[in-house]
Amino acid sequence: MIGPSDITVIGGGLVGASLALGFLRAGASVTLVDAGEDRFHASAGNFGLVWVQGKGATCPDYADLSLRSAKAWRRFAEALEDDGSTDAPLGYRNCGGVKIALGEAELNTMAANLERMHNQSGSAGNGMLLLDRDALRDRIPAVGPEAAGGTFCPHDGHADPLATLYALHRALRRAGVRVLRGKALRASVDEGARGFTIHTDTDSIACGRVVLAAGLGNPELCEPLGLRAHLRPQRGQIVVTERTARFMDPVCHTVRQTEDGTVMLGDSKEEVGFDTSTTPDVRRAILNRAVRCFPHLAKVRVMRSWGALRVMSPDGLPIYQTSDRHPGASLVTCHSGVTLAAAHAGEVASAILGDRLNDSYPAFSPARFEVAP
Amino acid sequence: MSIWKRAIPPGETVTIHVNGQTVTATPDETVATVLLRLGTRSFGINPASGYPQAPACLMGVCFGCLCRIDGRPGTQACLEQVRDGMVVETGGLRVS
Amino acid sequence: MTDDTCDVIVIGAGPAGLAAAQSVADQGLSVRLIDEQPTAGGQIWRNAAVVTRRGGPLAKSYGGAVAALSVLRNDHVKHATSATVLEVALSQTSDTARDPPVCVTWLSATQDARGVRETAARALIVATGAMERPVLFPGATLPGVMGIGAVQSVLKQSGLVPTGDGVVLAGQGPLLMLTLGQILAHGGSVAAVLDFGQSGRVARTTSGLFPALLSDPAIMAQGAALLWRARRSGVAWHRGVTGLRAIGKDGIEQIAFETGGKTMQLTCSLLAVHDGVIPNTQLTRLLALDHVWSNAQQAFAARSTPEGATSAPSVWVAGDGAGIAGAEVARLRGALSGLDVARALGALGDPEFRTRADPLKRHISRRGPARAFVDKLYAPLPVTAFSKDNAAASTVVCRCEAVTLARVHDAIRDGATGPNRVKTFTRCGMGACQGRMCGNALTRIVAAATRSAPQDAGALRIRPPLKPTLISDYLDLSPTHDPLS
Ligand SMILES: Cc1cc2nc3c(=O)[nH]c(=O)nc-3n(C[C@H](O)[C@H](O)[C@H](O)COP(=O)(O)OP(=O)(O)OC[C@H]3O[C@@H](n4cnc5c(N)ncnc54)[C@H](O)[C@@H]3O)c2cc1C
Ligand code: FES
Repeated sequence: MIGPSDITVIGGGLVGASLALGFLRAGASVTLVDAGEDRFHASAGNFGLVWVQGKGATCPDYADLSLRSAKAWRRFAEALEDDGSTDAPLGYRNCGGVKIALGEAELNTMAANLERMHNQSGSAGNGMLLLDRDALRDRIPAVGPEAAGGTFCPHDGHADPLATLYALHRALRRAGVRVLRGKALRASVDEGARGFTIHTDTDSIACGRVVLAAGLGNPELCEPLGLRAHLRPQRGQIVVTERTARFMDPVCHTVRQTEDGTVMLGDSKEEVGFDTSTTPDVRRAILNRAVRCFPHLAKVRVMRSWGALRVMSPDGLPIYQTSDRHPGASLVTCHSGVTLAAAHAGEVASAILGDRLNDSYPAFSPARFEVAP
Repeated sequence: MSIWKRAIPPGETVTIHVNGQTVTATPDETVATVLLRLGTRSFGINPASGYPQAPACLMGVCFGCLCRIDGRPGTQACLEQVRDGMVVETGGLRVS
Repeated sequence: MTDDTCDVIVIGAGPAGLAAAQSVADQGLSVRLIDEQPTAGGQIWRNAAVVTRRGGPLAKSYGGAVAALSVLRNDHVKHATSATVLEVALSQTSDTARDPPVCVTWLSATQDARGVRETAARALIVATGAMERPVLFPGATLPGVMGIGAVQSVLKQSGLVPTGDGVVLAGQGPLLMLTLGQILAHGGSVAAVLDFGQSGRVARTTSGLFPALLSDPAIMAQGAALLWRARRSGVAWHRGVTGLRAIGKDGIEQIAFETGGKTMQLTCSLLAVHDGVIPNTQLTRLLALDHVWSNAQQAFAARSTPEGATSAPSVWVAGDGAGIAGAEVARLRGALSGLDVARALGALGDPEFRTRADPLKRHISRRGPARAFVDKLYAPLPVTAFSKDNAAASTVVCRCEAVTLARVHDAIRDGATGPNRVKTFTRCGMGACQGRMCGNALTRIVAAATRSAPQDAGALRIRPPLKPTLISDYLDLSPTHDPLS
């Protein structure tokens, strides 16, 4: 049994590490339980977009949260870079994001969606524009002839998710956060409900509060804490190329040139359960689309491809919940852990510490999945 | 000046083009061994370090020998047998 | 969408792969033999057709090559040269004939038949051999530093030897001695040998293993001859060397090292290093087979039965890729795995299998003691043997991504507990070679720093494609349905 801490975060991926950083900065003593390298696919295998456009087309609260987080990203990144916690910069760039339409039909669909979003309050502030053929070429001259236009959002950007994850872990370690290496098997409520005990495969730890941020590992930990995580894995395959001369400044939602020049190409959405393998047909489809967007990529080499599992809720929105039964226990889970990292380290961590999580984010309560009798 | 010398007299020869120069080679040479014989030290610039790189393994595992061969970038020169008329471009400094 | 189908795919055309193809084809099964080298023969019989035709001192080490290569003329065997395996998909099946469980995607890079291919098969034999163990010291990435095996490959492939007064061999192992002899025999020159073998170990190990040695007189005679030739050659011989550094700007110019308490500096144009060979596990890791760490060889190899069967039902391993045992054992294990595959596919009955397999197994076990002797005599050096200077900015673990040993240690201090997390944190192993050059050292470094067993520390995950591949090569595959739409 390890000595108690104020708050234990279960899960050392982007969500858990960002929250832990937020708690730490608010002065709490934090323990992070981190199962290690193999349960990390989403945080290590993601695409690295800080993406606002299109988020929350049906949920203004989500659109707003994404926008606030994107706006907070620069400060979040700079703070991690400044405190000497990393030598590799996080590579954050607020360069704007483009969704490329291949052919008129795709462009028409995009235009219709944009129109619908603009008619909703909440998403009007994200500054999205429709780009016609020429406007697209003004922004990204390298696009091929099939690119008919697209949409642009000035708040979109990208970051190096691996450097971010490393910087977070480094900052936590160097600030003395206790990191417990092991898989959390069970969280139980202590006698008299004054706190919790987390049992890992190697140890156990007592804490006043517990936050579940274990991605796809959340569902199996929820029940005793009075939390509900409706989650499923959704596979995304990503292909990355060798370094190549810079050819795009705004980032595209399926083509991202990283700071060091490699190009990430994504990404599929596949309902295949807990299977991270890659498949030749999906890879070919990804490459095919990438070359239609940027023909010069045909002469660039693929370095690697992988499959990673998205942490998906039924409607794709985050689930934030503080337990009614055991108010010291909360759940934070979402699909866009890169985009929301700044919010998690900031406003979401504060809301949890201030016991305001449910009140601040009613739209993300799991109650929305419970069918009324 | 190359330190690599032919220990066995060449039989049949072919002609290839290395960085614009015409060079005689034997068909059992690979592009990597031809370049070594010519005294090439740097085969290219490592994209991550910015420093010159060169063959370390001669068996396809180190990727230090990458060159542009017949227009294809990033080809492993140690696995590429010489063919008449082949066009080879190194990306590096030439120290010889 | 498969270009062709066969009974068995054999990857690697060295002694193991050739022998495997032969014993599979002997049972009337069809074989697709794939190798990325331009000619068959693997490492030991590199450029075999030319070398054996020419004769001379090199050809002596090509005994058995001609017989082994005759399989390429077998009607049941289709051989693809300059063919790189990019990925392998395995599926479960109850009827391997109707529904082949193995699909290999490979790039044919021959002049007239370039393109990505897919071949389906009922079974796969992985015979991808060994590679030299990369060693770490400051300056090891400078042009002009290469493996001793690499120097030997240049000789075998193209008949070139290094000359001049700046050629230095460093490290230990039989290949150092053999290559030294071959360089000298071909009119090349070697100025110095830095012997990292631990003096005194020979005597210690020999006493215990002498009986074992006697069981293989051929090995003993070979070893003695090598030693004698080295002595006679008059190269400067430095023992007890540490603190090796390669120095130069755009290529090696000098080396520095410590020996007998003093620092020495030599002019150097070629520094060839060696600390034994390790299985090339790229393909077996891609297949996520179970692997076992060998303490004696300080390397992983796929877990396999004596017949080469692995943790995946349709995959066998053979040869040095299944654990270093030398060319002759590679050949024997190849032949044995071929028989086992033929049996598994119903082409060979049990009694017949035993009749053929038993003599092979006897031969293999007869060579066991000699191997154990070599493993002891040339036990792999610690990762820090060449240089203990962990902090040196020029000690690089991952060449492709220029990740230094110091950064790897930082990442471990910052919470990386295994090779894959080090990779996530530092990009170590993310470059073109995909961890081939750093993977072995990385496992050993992580295990030492976290005080865990290498078996538990694990190894880098390998992702497709096995080698960087032009997008245009991929897209030449005729398109199927679009799974993204
Ligand atoms: C550099 C070096 C030098 C050596 N020198 C000697 C020596 O002088 N004397 C000695 O007794 N032993 C030597 N050995 C050991 C000897 O080579 C092996 O014992 C023997 O070759 C093992 O045979 P094999 O068939 O298992 O592997 P190999 O002979 O290595 O054959 C494996 C084949 O697989 C191919 N391959 C690998 N990956 C792929 C892929 N993804 N796609 C397609 N093809 C692939 C390779 O190109 C290779 O041709 C040396 C080893 C090395 C690495
Ligand atoms: S020399 Fe190592 S890959 Fe070619």
